[in-house]
Amino acid sequence: MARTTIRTEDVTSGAISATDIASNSITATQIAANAIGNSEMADDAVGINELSATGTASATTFLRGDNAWASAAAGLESVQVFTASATWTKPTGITKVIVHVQGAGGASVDTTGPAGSGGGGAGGYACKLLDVTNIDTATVTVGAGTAASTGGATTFAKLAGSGSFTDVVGNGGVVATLGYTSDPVAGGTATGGDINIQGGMGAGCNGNDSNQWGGNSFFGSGGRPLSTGDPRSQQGQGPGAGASGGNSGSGVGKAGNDGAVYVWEYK
Amino acid sequence: MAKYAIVESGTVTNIIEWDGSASHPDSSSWILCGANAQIGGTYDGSNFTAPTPPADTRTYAEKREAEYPSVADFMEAYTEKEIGSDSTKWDAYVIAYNKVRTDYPKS
Repeated sequence: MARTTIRTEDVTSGAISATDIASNSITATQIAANAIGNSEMADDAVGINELSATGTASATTFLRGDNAWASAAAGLESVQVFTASATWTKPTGITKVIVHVQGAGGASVDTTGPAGSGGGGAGGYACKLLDVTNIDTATVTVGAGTAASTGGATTFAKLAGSGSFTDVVGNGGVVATLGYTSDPVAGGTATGGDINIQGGMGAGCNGNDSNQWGGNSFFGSGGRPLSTGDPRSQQGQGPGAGASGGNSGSGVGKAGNDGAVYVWEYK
Repeated sequence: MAKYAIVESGTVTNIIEWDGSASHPDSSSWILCGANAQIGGTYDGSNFTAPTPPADTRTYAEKREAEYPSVADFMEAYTEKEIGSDSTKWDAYVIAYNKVRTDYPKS
């Protein structure tokens, strides 16, 4: 009686090649459990090309549990500094940012006449962690410190991308008050941040005490009022600081310091 | 860096820094400004006007208190006159003191 099965001795070495196996003729149902172990596979038989993972395999990527090749880089990658209005563009590979938004400081006012000036308030400061995976660009508007004026507001706002976030805003410090007053002027408020810090108050003008300090910002001290010289009003240190006031007849006031935006970018 | 005003309905709502060329979607509406532009002031299409300062509501006594020469000036002038026989600073002090009284008469 003729045999109907194929024995090992019926298949000589090299007798079956890929051309002898029809496409899709071997599926999981033709392979018994544990039939293919390490001993049945030659070294390098299963390589990168045989994997179905998305993304691109390279020396800088690794295979994640969700079957995707992801960047191996992580952590703080770069920092962008804005001292003037512009557009922030997300660098390649960045997924999160921490934005620091500082409003401009308030000015002191003209004291060439018979009245002194208080100090200007400092700008508000907001700090926000943002997931920018789906954000491509954002507008950066940097508030200016301007003579005799409240400081300008600084904002970081979404421009393009499918994601969204609330505007991060540091408002400007209030301009100083001219003449006698016992009340200081307010620092700018801040909104939209995980941290929102109102700018320091500018000291009120109280006669000839030369104590009209500008408000302190998150980044630096307010202007120091000079007791001599002309003008006695001085700008402060760092973005958003308020200007100090001068006594009567001591000269023109100074602008508060400009605001700024710092973007810390993480992969 | 130059300052630009953001104007809404004729009122200056913000003053910002811009280099005049960096890309920003709102830059076409920004107006290059000088010292006359202040937040809260107005823009008529060609000129900026500063906001009106608040009225001076101080009493004459408050005005005098704020503007009198300092106590330190008084001590120095008086001492030099009495001990050093030099009345230069004292004379200047009296002139400044009287000017305040003239500038802010009792009312």
